[in-house]
Amino acid sequence: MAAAFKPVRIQQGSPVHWALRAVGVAAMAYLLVLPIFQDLKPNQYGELADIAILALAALSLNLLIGFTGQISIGHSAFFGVGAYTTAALMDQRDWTAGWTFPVAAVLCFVVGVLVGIPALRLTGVYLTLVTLALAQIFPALVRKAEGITGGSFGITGLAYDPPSWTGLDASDRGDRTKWLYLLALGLLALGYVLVRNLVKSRVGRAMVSVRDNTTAAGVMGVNVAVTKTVVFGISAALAGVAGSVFALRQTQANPDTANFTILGAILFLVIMVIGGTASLLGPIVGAFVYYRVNQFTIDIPEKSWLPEWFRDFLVGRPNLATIVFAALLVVLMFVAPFGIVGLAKQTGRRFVHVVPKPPALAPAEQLAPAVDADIDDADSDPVVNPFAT
Amino acid sequence: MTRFLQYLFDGLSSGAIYALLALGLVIIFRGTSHLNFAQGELAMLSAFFAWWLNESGLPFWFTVLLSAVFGFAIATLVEHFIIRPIGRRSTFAVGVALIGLFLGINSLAPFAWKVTIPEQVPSLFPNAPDDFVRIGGATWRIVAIGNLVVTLAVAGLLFVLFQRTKLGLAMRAVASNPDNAPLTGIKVGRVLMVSWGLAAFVGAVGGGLVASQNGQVESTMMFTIFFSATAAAMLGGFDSLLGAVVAGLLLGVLENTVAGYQPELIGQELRGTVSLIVILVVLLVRPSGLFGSARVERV
Amino acid sequence: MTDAAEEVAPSASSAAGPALLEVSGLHAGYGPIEVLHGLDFTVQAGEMVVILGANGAGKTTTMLSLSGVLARRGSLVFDGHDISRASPDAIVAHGIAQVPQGRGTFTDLTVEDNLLVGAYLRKDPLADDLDRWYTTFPRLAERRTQKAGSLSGGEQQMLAIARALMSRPRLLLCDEPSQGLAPIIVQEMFRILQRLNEEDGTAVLLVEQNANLAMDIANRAYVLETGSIVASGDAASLRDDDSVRKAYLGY
Repeated sequence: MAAAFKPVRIQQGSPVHWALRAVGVAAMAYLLVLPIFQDLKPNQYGELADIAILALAALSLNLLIGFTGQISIGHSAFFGVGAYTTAALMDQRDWTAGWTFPVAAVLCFVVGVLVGIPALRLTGVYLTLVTLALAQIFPALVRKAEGITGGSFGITGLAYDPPSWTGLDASDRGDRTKWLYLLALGLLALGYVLVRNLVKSRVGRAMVSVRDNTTAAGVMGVNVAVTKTVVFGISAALAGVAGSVFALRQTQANPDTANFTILGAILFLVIMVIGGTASLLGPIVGAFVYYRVNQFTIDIPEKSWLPEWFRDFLVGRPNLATIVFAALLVVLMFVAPFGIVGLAKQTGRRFVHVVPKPPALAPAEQLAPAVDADIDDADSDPVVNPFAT
Repeated sequence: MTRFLQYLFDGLSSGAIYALLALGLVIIFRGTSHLNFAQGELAMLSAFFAWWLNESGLPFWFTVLLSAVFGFAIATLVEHFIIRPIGRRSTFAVGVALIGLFLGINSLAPFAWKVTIPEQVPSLFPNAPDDFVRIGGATWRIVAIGNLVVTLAVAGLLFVLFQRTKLGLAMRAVASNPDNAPLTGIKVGRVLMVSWGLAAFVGAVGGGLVASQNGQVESTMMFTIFFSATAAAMLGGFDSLLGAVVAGLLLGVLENTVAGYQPELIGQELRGTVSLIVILVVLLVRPSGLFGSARVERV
Repeated sequence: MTDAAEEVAPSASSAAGPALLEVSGLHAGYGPIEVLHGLDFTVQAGEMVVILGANGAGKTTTMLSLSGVLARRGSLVFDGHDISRASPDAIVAHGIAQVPQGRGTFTDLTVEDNLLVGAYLRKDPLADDLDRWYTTFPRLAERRTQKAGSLSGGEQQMLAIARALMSRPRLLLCDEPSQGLAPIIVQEMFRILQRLNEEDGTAVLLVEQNANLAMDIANRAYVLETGSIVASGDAASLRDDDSVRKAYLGY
């Protein structure tokens, strides 16, 4: 197959490469920014806000994978800590929502570092264990800490009106939802830049390239345990901020919310994996796809083009969505371990090959596509053969 | 003293179930170093299977046994068709796939059996209000004794299997040195398949005990138990069968005692914090656990 | 590649009927990287053959592909059976056992369990064999209930050899048995291998960097360089051939 096409070789940083990047950026901008200038219905803005929130939460996982190669199934707890920080500060201290974000981020960072310290010194399954424990006890803790969290009832009536400088009308429902979308989008952009810069930093490159060879990282002068722990804290902070916006979007924080339980943590993972592990665009793509597929499965009973027997079969059974996503997770590990973005890149590479510039001329500034390629390359786990000579 | 005895008896009962699940985790971990995330859900699926057969009139203890065989079969298929091929890619991919299985089985069971509310099952042991023995003023319920006895019996059988049979020898050899094992003629793939099956078999017995104790099956029945079982496996050392049993029982007693003596601060709702603290302490003080071989790598 | 191999002296044994192991055109490697580029060699019944080569020449790759744990291409015939596609356990069942490079023991198992694992495919009584190897290696008898991991390096290597012999192989593959051992222990081990070869008629295919010692006990030798055989012949004549010795053996 590959021999049939001779991939076009493009030098990194050449005008053609820039043009390609421009197309990519334009496409993303079209998807994400255009809605701001359009006049969408409130629920459409709501949808986009939800997608941006999920994307941010999944992005935080991506940072963790990039640096440590490990999975957290406790990010629902950080998501929840963020949500409850915002909710509690607004409810009990009358804070403006915006000021609660940094507090949520710092709090999650601290919690993340504290639980990360013992687990990240060790290789293996220990981070998974600790994060599983976190996810498991968070909802119970929330119910117990009634004084702060409102116990089983949670905290309700959260509202974040658009500030006057936005020109949005605080009394208009559409504008209020649009404001939340803008907020989520802004934070997502911030998170994107943060993750990208971290992965591109000298330390980040060292960690990504030698992720599974900790001795090598040690030789390169990187304190692996400390770096991992700090990164875990930052990842937790990003998830926390996503949770903050989520609370505003829900107008409440409630311990029964699925996103605060382990199912939430798994949801973030699903989104990240579908979009593309170790790809910066992955979480955004993944969140879109997740949202659409989820919507589709909910609507299945109303799809008249589906056979009658199938719709009858579904009557009285739980929603198909979870099964679909679970199957997708397993199938993707077979056919496309790097998700949709990974698959797209693999296909793209058949036609276009980006060649790095000679080192002397390498620009300090590199844009997203190249970044993704870097992380991807580090992730295409060469099979380590235990019998190697 | 009476109070402590009571917590001890109750704790041994829940600990017995942790021990069964932890045994399953350890059996799989020894072979492949994977944390079988789907262990609890496989047990839940088996419990559903037992409930379903029980509905058609078979005695519950018998259907639990059948469900263990069912669990064995499902797990060998999972190992052969999902875990092994994906394992050739990377450990990370296996982790993701196992989480997918966790999610998938959790939603598949209620979907397949059209179950939206908990379904009733009978108790495996006499469970009338006066079915207990009194020791030192504390009541040791027959159900609690039953859980403990079943677990110890299963652990004993496993011990015999591992120490006295050729299959057990092969399983220990693969756990010790998976690279060398094929050079002696051991079919490593088959051994791993059987390991997964055994783990699910033991887990299914645990699932049956949980169903019997709760008097019902539901899709979330194993969530907190699985979590405590991972803590127990870790406390026991992750590659030690004896450790899994001892740590499971210990953790059950610890949880009950702490929750019992601190009903306000901890109580039944926050029992899980005990496991979290145990995990953190083990990580800090002795990552190889109580009985584990010290193979833990630091960075 | 093998056409270029320098046949120093016609080997006496290669004419004696069909070989026990006949390898031709063996290619093997790791993933996309090919390490062996088509090896041809034979081992006669009861013969002791050594493959010499430097680090990275492909010695371990050769051994692992013979045992079937590495993907391989080419023809392998053992005692008239085509084992080119046989699985590792089938190869053991045919009568080929391997002492792998490094510590080929199961460190978490007791000494006795290690020996029992070695006889995994056998169904007949093992008492005689256990007796025999405990007599040959008295140190192992003393430590039969200890974990193999607690043995010294030399004892572990002895255990690995005894373990491989428990399957009663007709061909024993030894991958650098001298690695990391004190010279006196290496000598003892080579003596035992030689005795085994002479008394039982077990063929031995040895892979070594330690050319000097290996050449003393081997009948024939092959020299492996970057995945190809570059010289072969009688051990004695190869050792006496200055050009081969200087170029490949380095002494």
